[in-house]
Amino acid sequence: MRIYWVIILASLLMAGCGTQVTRMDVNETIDLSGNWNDTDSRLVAEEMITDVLSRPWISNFVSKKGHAPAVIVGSVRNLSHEHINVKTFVADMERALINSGQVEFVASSSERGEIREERKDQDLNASEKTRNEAGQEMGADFMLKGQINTIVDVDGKEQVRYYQVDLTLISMADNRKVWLGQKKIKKLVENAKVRY
Amino acid sequence: MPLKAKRILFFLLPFFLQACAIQQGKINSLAEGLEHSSSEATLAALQEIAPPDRDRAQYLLNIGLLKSITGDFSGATKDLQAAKELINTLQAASVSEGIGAATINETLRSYDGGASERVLLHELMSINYLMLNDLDAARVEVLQASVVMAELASADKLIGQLASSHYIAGLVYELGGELDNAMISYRKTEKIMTARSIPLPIALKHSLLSLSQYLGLDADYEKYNKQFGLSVKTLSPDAAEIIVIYWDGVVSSKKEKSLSVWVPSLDQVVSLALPSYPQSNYVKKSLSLNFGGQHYLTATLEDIETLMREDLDDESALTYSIALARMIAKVEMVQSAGQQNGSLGLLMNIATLLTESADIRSWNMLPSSIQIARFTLPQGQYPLPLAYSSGSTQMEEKKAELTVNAGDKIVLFVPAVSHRIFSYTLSSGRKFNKNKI
Repeated sequence: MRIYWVIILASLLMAGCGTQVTRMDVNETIDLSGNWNDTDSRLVAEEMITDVLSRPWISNFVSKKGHAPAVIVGSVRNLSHEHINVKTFVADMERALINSGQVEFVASSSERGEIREERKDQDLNASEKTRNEAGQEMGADFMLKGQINTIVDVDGKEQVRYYQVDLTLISMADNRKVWLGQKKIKKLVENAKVRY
Repeated sequence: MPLKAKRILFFLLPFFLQACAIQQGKINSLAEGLEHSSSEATLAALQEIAPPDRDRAQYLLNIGLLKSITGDFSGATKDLQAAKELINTLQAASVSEGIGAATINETLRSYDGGASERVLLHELMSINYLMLNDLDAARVEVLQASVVMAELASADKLIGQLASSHYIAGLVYELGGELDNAMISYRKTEKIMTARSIPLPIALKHSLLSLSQYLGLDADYEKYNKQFGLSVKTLSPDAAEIIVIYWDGVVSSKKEKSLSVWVPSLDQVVSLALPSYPQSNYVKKSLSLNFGGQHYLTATLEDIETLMREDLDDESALTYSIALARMIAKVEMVQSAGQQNGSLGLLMNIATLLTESADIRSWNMLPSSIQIARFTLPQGQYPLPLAYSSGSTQMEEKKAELTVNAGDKIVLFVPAVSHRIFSYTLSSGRKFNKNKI
């Protein structure tokens, strides 16, 4: 009888805990759900940056053309089973490549619209000294494209998730693929069977 | 615990649980009235209800669905995504909720959706993303639905295996140019529909035929050609393909049924409160679309009424045994109290009866059936006159027009209860457009 009352009380007492925030280093790995997270994005960016800067496509281009190659970011398709923000590792790559001084980036098609609008506005409102003319944009030499694919194997509460990120640099002049980057990530996710 | 505290707690319990039951009753009556009232009014009424945390998933599912059928696809996606995350966390069995269910009633468990509901959640999100012009995100949901179906799969049952989800997957793959994946999904659709003895819609037959021919699967093509008695229609260069996803009716809500069981150990009959579905009064209505003088009818792809009943039947053995064990424990407690004090025993008996209620929660604003049609139209502008077949009341005449360009693939999403059509157009140049009507 006593036990019965304790059980009833326990089942009714589902008190929530207050929010707790702990700041941490961005490089610290914390896997909560097993889904794609900041660590995966960082691992992809690191792998791709190291690879793209160590391959001969840059030196080949510079020796032929005499200037640093200009790259535009094309579509990086998410063909995985998760809603993944691909912009994070693409932005990391852009930053690393620009900071290396070996590659230049031009605005992507989605970014250009706003800039062109601003240029039109400058044409009307900015002084002649500071105005930027239309028709002076830098054309890209290469386009960065890619995709994320996944294979998920499920057995009850266990999943093996395999992610493969493929990035390609394609020459705008002749469609040649000058660099192929790949990063594979594999995770075993065991979902909880019991909660409080 | 002092006796007085025990009594107070136990006598307050029924009131606490009754308040929840009243809320659930309100949600069920909103669902039951959805077919004959405005979807916006139902949404507004539902938004005024503040559900307890354990009913939050059900609430989000219904809110998300109502937002979808009224055209707020962004808002719907947020709510459905929140429901999805919540349901995923609730898949682990809760110790405290299990104890609550075993001692008081099943409504103390957090609602985590039935097997089919978990798959339909991804299916609706795929449609939402299509209507938001985001084919890749629709593809993500298609893959997530396949993971959930794989989790739920068993060798001898079709629980959680949905033909409509595989069909939507096939459609999404087809729109993305992944014809081999589309073929696999259409095959799965066919397999499930055949296992459920549902006649294959002509739209599916044509997809199987045309894809098997296009992919050079000669044996498959011959098989389907013989089986369906159909051959592939060549798409005219100035024509577009129209795919209609039609949601008909509103699925039944669960009801509470009482079951009397003789318990030899107590030497008495106990009454159990169990969830059940009433006999379905749903009469299938096809959508009849008239374009350029031609009538196109939708055909059933998924019978949600049947799915929901199958899911409940699948859980019934477990629900019954927990209810019986709980009732035996309650009766023993009442007997023990009665031996101490006659009037206390009587009051506890009343409280026991009041706390015993069935879990009648479900995603009860889903349609009764999902239907499809697929046909070609020559390019041009088409007014959208909509009407139900089967002698139902005429749908409101729409002034809007559907623009059809050569080579387009146009997906029309038509939820009957909101009297609206939403569309997604994949233009022949692989340039995405959206056209809300």
